[in-house]
Amino acid sequence: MKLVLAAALVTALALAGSRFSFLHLPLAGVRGSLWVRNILLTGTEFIFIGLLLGSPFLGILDDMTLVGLAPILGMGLSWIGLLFGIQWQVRRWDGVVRSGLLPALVQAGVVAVIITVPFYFLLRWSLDLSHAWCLVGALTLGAAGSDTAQSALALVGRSARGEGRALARLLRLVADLDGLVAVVVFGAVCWLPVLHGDTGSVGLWAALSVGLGVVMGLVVVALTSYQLAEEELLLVLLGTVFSGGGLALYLSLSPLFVNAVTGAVVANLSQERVLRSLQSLLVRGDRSVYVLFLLLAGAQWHPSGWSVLLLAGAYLMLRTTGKLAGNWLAFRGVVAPAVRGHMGLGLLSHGGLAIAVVVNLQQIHDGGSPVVDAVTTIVLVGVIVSELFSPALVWRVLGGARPMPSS
Amino acid sequence: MALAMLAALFAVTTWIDTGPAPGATPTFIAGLVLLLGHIAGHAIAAIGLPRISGYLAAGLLLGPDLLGVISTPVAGQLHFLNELAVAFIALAAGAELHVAQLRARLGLIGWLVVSTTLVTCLSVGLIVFVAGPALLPFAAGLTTVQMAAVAALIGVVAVARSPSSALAVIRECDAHGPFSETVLGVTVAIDVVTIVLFAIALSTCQALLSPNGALDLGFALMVLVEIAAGIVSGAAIGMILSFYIRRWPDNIALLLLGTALVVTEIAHGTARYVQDTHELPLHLEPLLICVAAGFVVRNVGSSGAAFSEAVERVSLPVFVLFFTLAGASLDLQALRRTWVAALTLVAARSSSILAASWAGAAIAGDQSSGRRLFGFTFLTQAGISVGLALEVVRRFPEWGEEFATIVVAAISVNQVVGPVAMKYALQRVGEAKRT
Repeated sequence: MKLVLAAALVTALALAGSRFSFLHLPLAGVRGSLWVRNILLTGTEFIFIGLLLGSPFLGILDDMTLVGLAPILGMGLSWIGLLFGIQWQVRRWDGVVRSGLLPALVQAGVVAVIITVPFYFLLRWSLDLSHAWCLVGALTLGAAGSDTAQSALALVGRSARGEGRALARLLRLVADLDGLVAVVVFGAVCWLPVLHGDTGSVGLWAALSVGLGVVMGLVVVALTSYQLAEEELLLVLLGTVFSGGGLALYLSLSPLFVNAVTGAVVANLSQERVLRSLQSLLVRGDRSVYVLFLLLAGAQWHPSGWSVLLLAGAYLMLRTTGKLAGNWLAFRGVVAPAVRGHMGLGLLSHGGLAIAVVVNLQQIHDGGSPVVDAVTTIVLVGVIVSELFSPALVWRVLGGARPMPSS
Repeated sequence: MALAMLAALFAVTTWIDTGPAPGATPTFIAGLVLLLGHIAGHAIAAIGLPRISGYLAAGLLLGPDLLGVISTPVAGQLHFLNELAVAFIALAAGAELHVAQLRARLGLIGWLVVSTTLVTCLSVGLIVFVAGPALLPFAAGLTTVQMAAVAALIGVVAVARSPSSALAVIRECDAHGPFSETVLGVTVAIDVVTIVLFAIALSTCQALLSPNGALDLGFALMVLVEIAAGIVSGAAIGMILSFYIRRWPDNIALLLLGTALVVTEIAHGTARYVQDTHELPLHLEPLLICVAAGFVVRNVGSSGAAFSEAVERVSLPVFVLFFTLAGASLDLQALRRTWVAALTLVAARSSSILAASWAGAAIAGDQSSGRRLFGFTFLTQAGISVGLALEVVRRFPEWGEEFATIVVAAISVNQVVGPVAMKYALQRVGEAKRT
């Protein structure tokens, strides 16, 4: 009874969230400080609602109930993964995407390294974890930190004027592409034998991850190779999302990564018509799935002690440093030096894939473990704080924008 | 090729087991059910049979009697999805009942309900009564009166139909027109009539078979209360849905799934609560509540069309899931043990439905080309009849199991034969736009 009512409550909140939060809310209609508006407009409030519903407070979404809701989370992770992967249609890339891809990945890679390396030692020192678990925690944080959410850019970028508009487009492109580092790095975390009861090897789990994704992609391509009505496409899509996610979870792999590979295979081998329809179906559920993640990530959050808050502070600092350094390094010759110096501040918006990465870690590893609790707290605090400041920072960056023409 | 790749994937999972994450198995099996159901549906449609038969076949193949992919524990984990699907299909069935279109055919619907109910119940009951222990070995020790009570129960169960199968075939064929609307109207109405008749038959049977022999009128009264409460609460939910859809017409599919979820669980929860606190066997039927809700949304206010459209958009995955899981639950062992009795019941039921439908249409003065074909659309049977058989097991544990085995075996045959006959009728009448 409780499970089903919890599922209904979560569904209702996801429904309401997708409707009333994010950019649906007119800026002028929200009273209160700019920070409160930022929270409401980016949907971050659902983390708090989830936390309130979780076991530390109301207990409606307690640990047992969350286990029962695992299939919904598995499906959600697969949905996000598939949607991410299906955008990687290489044959449709124009010059802008081709020239922006490498810098976007380099900046995200720099952020991942700048977070991962110090956090390996910080986790070892503060939580007294083994080498393998420190690696899991640090790489997960690196993956989560490397991604840029679209929320602040969508919020502020639309109103950019003059030269700021070109920079806003570039920032959005980077935010579109840099998720690849997060998906791949976290996919690789799930290849570590420690997450498989110390069985198998990195190579075996890597091959299985990629293999599953490719096979599922080929299944979709085969099933959609003849004319299908929209409801049949939905059927194939749901079948793929459920079975891909279920299989990945069954093997303690990342549904996010496996389904991103599936999506990429579908994007590059399917007919254009099928691809457009699949994208449209996936986008339709995207916002509800994201609200669901925010809620359940909040519900699974067991806020750790003050020491973890210090780690969250370190995470924010390292991420900011990484974004500044990464963009300065990656966009040499693409963006004017004066802008390049602080361009990273325009990419601090946090959420989306970072939340999905945390939820994925919670899914494949039992809740209550110190590393999962620490990573959850660090990333969620990071998301909340980033979403408070990032719209203002984006605005500042766009105000002084002078992107150079690509050479 | 897709099938081979899916088989390979399944082999991988059985080969490697690393202590799966919570919910991994049901998530994977649900996906497999959807994909295999889709493949089987298309394969069977290629030979002219309805896709629902393909879904059932896929379920049978995956079920515990053959491949064992959907084992009994896994089926238990997926039961939640099954109940959700039943409630969703009931919402969809209610939405198909458009009063403005049905008004002109209310007389025909009424006669078809009366004729098929009476004739089926009486003829199946009579055959069972005459055959006695030759057909039902468990009845060997029963007196004539007791045998009559058992025969009446089987007769009533034979009346039940399957709105979900009917709706699935109508949707698959994209059938629109007076014939399809009449069929669905009759099928839904008969399910309500069956619940009432069953309550009366069960009370009578209990009075005749129990040692103290008292007629339990309270039970029959409780059933009437259940039906009234189901319709009223369904209507209230329908009004709320109608208001919501009118204000916010997006994301209706998610809303409907949530509604189906809540209705199912609140109905079961209320039953448990009333049983625990007042020791009353109140069973609010989620099916009835959802049909009433769907009916109200379709016919009250202006959101009916948007509602129907949203239901239609997401109904295919629900049908595939429901019927593939239904296929997995078909009990081949029971059919092997009781096939003579089961086939006798199927033959008696089918012939009486065919004759009664023809007679009902004739009495109503129906002159349409479909008047001889109504019977073919009423052969489907599932869901509610299995529930009724299980209620008999609960009430009469000494012979209820054997009773249910025979009845469920007959239902399994009807579940397979019914959709084929229905598709044939829809095509013959010319209302099937897709073949």
